Amino acid sequence: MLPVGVWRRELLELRVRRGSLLLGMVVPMAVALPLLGANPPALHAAAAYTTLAVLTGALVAGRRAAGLRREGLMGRLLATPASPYRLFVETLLAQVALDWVRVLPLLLAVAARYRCAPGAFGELLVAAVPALLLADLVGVAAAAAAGSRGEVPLYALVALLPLLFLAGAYTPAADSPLRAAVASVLPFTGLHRAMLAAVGGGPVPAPGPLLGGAAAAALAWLALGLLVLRRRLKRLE
Amino acid sequence: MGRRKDLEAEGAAGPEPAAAVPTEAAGEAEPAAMAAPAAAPAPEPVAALERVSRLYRSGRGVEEVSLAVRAREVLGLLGPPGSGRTTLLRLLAGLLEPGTGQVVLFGQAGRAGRRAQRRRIGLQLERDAHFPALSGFHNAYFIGSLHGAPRERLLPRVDGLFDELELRGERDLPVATLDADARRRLSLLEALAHGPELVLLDQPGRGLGYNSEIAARHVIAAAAARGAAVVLATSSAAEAEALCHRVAVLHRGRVLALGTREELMAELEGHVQVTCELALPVEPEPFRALPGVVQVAADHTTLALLLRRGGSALDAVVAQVARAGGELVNLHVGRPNLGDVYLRHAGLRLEADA
Repeated sequence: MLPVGVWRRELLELRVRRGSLLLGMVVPMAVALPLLGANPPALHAAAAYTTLAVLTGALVAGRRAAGLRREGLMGRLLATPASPYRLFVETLLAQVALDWVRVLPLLLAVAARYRCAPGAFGELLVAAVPALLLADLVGVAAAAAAGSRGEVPLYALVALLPLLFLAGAYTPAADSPLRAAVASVLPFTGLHRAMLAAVGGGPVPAPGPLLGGAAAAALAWLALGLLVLRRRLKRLE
Repeated sequence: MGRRKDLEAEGAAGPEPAAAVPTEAAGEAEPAAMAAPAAAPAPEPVAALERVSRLYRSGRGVEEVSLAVRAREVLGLLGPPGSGRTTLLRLLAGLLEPGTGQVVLFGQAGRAGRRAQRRRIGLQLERDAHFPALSGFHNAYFIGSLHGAPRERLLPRVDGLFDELELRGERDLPVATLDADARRRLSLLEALAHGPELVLLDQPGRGLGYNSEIAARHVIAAAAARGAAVVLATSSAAEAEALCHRVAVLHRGRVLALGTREELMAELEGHVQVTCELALPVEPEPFRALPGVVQVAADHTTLALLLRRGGSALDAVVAQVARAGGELVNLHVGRPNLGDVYLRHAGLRLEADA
């Protein structure tokens, strides 16, 4: 296979860095295992699994972005004729796809442990995608802000935990109209509600509004990310 | 006195072809000059800077620079770090916009169509940047594909360049396992893989061993001979002399002199270059007052001087070293080179900038 375009390049890299993908699948499972073995309240379990999935995406994406920056590849790619926005979107979507594969064992384990209905499981799989997109964006932003690769997890955590709180992962967002409004623009909300349903802590949400809302929110965040990228590129000129 | 040439004054005459056949003379410190009895370059510039200024917040940058490069020509930007070489390359690559003046690429001024023009440009940055997990071949192919080169053209070119740059053995190894010399050659390969019309190289010889440098120079000269316009930024006078048809001598963002090697060296006719290596540093000022001394630059324990040939200037220099309490460890007297053109105009050695 020849590396024509971002997707094929990512796949070729994956072939070489298989160990990294496996590690990304094993670590969230290893953290989740005690929870899966215990019997925590559904609200706590859903909060923990949602946090784990989102953190996995953000940390891996942030680490990858920091690595690209350290290798000088950001500047190299900007010097090519390829649209920087297209490169950004394609690289991000490839990262989201890989992160989805990384959290898949966790989602499968949750579904098996709690014997969730096929519909609920399907929603969980789909709701993970927009949530991971926002998580990866947060990871990329953390990599841009951090002074070194080691600081990326810290910056990612500082950004993610408040967002997860606002999304209602730890306390219900519906308690306050303002929080509910904020939660509606965070794809983490959709993942958490699907996770809550999967662990039996709530009804299975209607798929249309849940997934449509999460997807729309994710696209809005992606648009915001592209605007920020545009500003940074203008500053470089 | 310099030999500053206006853009207009270059006219249709074009630059002269570069110098001799490459040789691997044993014991020589630098690879010899390249063969390039190239055909006379076409008259229209492929890329031009017209009174361009671009200053950064730090105050550094380039000011009032006018340059042009034509097909089949290698134009050198010779200067130390901070002289504006990289800024000029970035302006020519369309990565930076000028503050004033204009950049004309492929006959077009202004920002419109810059991204499409980049397909016709090959760029080697000062810093090597590769995907470490991918092989050299995959890195080169990926960058080439981003320039829109079709597979049937890109594949044989990439393969051929791996041979020409003596990277065949490293072709399929992950870049993370390659040494700095191989990575540098790979960067040059990536700049040339898609057959660009304008090639911009930032210090292509940096960190290369002797054989690698020869291979790189062959490839660069061949690219120009095939029709590309090449702009080469370097702080190595030897590299500029070996490869460039014309050289722009840069200092702190300004062009001090611009012309062919012969034109630039003509102003040093009747001069001799003297390098004194001392055990202890000495003040350079007293040397400037000596008769026959044209220019002096000191860099720690090295004193570089430009003297008028004949007379007793050399004797006076040696005597001054003794008077200043310096101990002469080594003395080299030789023919001036482009580094001495820089010394003549900037009052500094090319290897060091105040």
